[in-house]
Amino acid sequence: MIKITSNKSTNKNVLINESRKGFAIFMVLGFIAIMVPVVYMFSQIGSSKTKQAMKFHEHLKTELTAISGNTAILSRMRGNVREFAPMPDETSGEDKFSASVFKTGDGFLGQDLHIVLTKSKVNNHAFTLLCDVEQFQPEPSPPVTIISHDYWGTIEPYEISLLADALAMQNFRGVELLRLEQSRDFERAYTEAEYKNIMSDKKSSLPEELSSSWSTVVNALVSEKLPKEES
Amino acid sequence: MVELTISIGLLAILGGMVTHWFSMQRKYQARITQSSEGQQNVLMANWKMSNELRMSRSILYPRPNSDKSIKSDSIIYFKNSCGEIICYYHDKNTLEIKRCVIPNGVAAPAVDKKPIAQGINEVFFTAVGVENRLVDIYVRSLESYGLESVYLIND
Repeated sequence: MIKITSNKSTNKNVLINESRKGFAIFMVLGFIAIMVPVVYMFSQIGSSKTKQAMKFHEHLKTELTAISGNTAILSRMRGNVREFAPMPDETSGEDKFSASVFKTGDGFLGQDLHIVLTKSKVNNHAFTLLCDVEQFQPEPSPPVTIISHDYWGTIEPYEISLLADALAMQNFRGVELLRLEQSRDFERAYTEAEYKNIMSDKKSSLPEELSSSWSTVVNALVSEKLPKEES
Repeated sequence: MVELTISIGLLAILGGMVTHWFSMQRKYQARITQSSEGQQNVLMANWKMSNELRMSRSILYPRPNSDKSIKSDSIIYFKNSCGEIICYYHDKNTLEIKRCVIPNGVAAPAVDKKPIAQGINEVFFTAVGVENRLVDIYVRSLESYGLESVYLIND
């Protein structure tokens, strides 16, 4: 009898131990099942925000590096460095930029005409800056007079060492320059009074927020208007 | 029965702690998300505006006062690289910075369907340079602030 009772109690103890073990495993698995998705969700929220912030940081970085690269190239041209070939990557602080200078011809005053391209790339983001540069002859020694104008930037990943890409960029910019010429022709076609009337009439079709400041803008536009060309 | 009571008690304590921790994390998360959104709005607004402004040709409004003191406004007009008149203005009702294109010709002005930036509480453009080529941009979104200076590189 004693033996049987002892066996029964052993069996009961084993059952209790098993159920405790099962309960503990259930709790641990349940805890993991809740925590893993929650932690994953938090990390995803955090990382997507960080990714977005990094995206803009990289955009700004490439833009600023390309501008800084452009300044570096203009400084060299001012120091009478002429007719560059595509150059190896250079650095502006920690960031790399590449540059190309293509000579496009000679100006009326004997100056060299170039297009200068600088590009910076950080991960998937690139920024290319294109401008025209007129480089005069040194008289008698550097600094050489430099006139840079018609800057144009793009985030498209062009290869600036290739003449074909450089020409494609010039064509895109050329479209904008044609539109600029059209707007200048419009100014040249009217007298100051006529131009002022045309621009003032736009007030009625402007959003409400802009109507109070528009007359000041029209005055500024008229004061800088190109003179009418007599036909 | 005793074990079950103890485990339920422990589960209740642990559950309470975890729930409290979750609610605290949610509050932190909401604050961080809000702050991050604010920074994001400021970054996006500054990047888009400075990108176009930098390649533009002249600032038409605001310009320094006649006594050469600085002038600020929540509106800026400038001539872009194509010679069009562009205006950025703050819509206080929708908290958006909008872009209006005013052709330097006979065509009518048009406001872009997509705003430059959303969730912007304040924006001020300050004319700094006497040549109308330098402008400071102050942007506030929620509790995030941004100050940018842009120099127009085209004539």
